[in-house]
Amino acid sequence: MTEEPLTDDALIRAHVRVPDHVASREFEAETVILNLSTGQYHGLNPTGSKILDLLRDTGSVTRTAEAVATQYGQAVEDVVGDVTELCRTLAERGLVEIDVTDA
Amino acid sequence: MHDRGGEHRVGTAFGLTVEVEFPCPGLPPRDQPHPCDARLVRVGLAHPGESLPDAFPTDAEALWTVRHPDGHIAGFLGAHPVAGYLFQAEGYGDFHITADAAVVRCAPSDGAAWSWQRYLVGQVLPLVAILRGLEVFHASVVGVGSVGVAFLGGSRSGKSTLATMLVTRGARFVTDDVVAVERDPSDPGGPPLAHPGFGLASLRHSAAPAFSPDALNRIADRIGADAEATRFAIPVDPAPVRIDSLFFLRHVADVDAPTIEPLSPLDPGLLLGSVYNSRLRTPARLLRHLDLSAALAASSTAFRVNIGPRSGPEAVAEAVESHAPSFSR
Repeated sequence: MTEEPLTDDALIRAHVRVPDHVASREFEAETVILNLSTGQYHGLNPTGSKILDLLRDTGSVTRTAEAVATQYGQAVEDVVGDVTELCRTLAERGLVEIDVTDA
Repeated sequence: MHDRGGEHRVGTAFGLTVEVEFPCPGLPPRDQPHPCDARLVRVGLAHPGESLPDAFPTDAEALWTVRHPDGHIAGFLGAHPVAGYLFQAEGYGDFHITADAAVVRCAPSDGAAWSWQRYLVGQVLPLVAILRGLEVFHASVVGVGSVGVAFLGGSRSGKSTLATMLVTRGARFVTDDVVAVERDPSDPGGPPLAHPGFGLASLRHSAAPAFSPDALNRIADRIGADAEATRFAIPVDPAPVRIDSLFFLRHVADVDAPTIEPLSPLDPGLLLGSVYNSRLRTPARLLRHLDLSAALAASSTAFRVNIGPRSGPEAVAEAVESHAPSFSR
């Protein structure tokens, strides 16, 4: 059975977790993310790194988008799309886990 | 028959205290007491006629295998959770590391000791350093005072030649081709420590004309040569250094004199790609490599060195000296 793709609404309400097998270190212009399970490296620009840190701290796309909007002086609705898109990309690479059970 | 030499010799290299039961040129002296004593490794010879591969489990994981067309093994690195690690290296011999990386046993191929010991120093002991909690980068390092200048690049990029030239010009030899790095236990958030290796360097015959015999004789003792290079023993101070400059070497076709450009921001891939022995990919090792790459990047100034086909080692050394902060202090 094909799994239904996660809608943006469901993602916005979901719990997001950065698993223990994901490590990161900051370099001058980017953050390198290491998936310890696969041995694969990924790079995030400073904004993406900030979003990942917020997802780790808040566990929530909504709260992350609110924090980013505040920091950059933008409306939440202008930011949430970028946050959900990054969240999907990170999930595809095993760098975050999305739990919609309580959403 | 290989010379066991009688007494044991103890020295400090790659962040390890190395005790060997045979003559081993280039083993640096050991400070007493030394923090590396906690990482003691004993290196000895297998019994005459003993086959290390025969004693190694057949269900070991093959981390690396190179075979001739007829299936004969040219190179092999195997790992077993109980039996440890086995290197098989054609022309050099077989080498076994216990699972706790505290003992190394060597079954060398026939030939001069300096030749098979190249593999012991260049491959086996660096793996021991990794297993004992250090990270190892593919780099040559010279010292200026207590500070280190590191040269990184692929094989034949000129790291060894450049390091040797700088030593003839007054720098201190720290290590050739392999540098073991760790967080400073007394300052874990600060610059990492780089540990000297063996006092051994190889100078390719193609690079030798750039050196006067007198200059080489002042800094090093010749211990052997093969078709590609001459091997030298060079005195080493076993004290670790803090690296403050990283020079990434590359050969380009369209420059005459060597050029140096700052790398800011530094591409993390340059350091991550300078890993030594990429076969061991445990999560702990990968994390340590990432952590120390970031620490080196944060505490060092990075440069790219563009070396043209007519750039001699002396010109490259002059260019490095004019850019590395430690040379100008």
